[in-house]
Amino acid sequence: MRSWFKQLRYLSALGFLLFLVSCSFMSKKNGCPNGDVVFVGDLGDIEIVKVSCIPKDGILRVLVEIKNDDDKERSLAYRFDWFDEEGVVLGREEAWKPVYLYPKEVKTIRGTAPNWLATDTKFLIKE
Amino acid sequence: MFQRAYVLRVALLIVFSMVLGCSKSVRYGDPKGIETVSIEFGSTDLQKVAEEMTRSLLVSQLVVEGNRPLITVQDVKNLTSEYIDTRAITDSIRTELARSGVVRFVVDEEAMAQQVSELDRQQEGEYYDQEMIAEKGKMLGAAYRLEGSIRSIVKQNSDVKDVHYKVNLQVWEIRTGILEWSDETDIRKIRD
Repeated sequence: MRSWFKQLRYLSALGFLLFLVSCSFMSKKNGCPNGDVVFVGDLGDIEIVKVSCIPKDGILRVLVEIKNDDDKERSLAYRFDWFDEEGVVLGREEAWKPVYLYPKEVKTIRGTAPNWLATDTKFLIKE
Repeated sequence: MFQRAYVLRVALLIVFSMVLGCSKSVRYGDPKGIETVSIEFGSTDLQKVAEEMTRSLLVSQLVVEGNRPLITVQDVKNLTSEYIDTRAITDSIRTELARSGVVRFVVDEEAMAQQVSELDRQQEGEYYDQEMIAEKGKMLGAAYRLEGSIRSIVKQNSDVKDVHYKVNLQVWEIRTGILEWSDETDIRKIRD
């Protein structure tokens, strides 16, 4: 009985460890340590399908797949924030850029870092 | 007499309150926010063009880490029917690129007169330390030339106005005349 409890304790500890490892992998989105997405306000049926970070020749590039699950077209605005290795925001704030989505459309928004220092990004989207 | 002065005071009070009521308040806005005050080329369009174009140039073959090519900039040509301060577009693109640190800029055509004047002033002036003055003949020529244009297609009826802007930028190698990079961005604005 006692050894069964011991085994259960080991198994639960292993399970917790596996959970932590899988969570850390899930948060790493193809090269962006965080690759956060921030919805500014309630955007209803707008969904982020995928965030991919692809460094090319030292410049970080990001692809954000966004889906309009609504039955009507949506006119939104987005911008990227860029961070260096220490997590400090790079350069000046980007301008909000308009994006238009047809009903049920999936669109890929491309972002390119302003310089070679960027190692992480945050995607912000609002109405 | 007293009644007349009273009426005058009341009238003045009414006029004053009307003026106050009509005056509009002033507030600060987000300079990076979406601006949709009018259908004409605006601040959002300017920032979108500058950002998209410079980021595209940043990942082109022209820019390889460390090579920092020398570029001269020519004003973006306005081929639309509306007034657009294209110097602002050119300046924004140059500033964005300069901030990225991947390219260097040499004096453009417009700033050349001021550059020559400053060189002459240092050479001719007796007030400068002769060992510290900038020598003539040391300026570097650009390897590349950045130019561009903005065009628009305007459609309008009694209810709707539709404007499609197309901004195109190119980088030419000056020595060979080869087009090294080109990109364009579209903006469509509808007023109904």
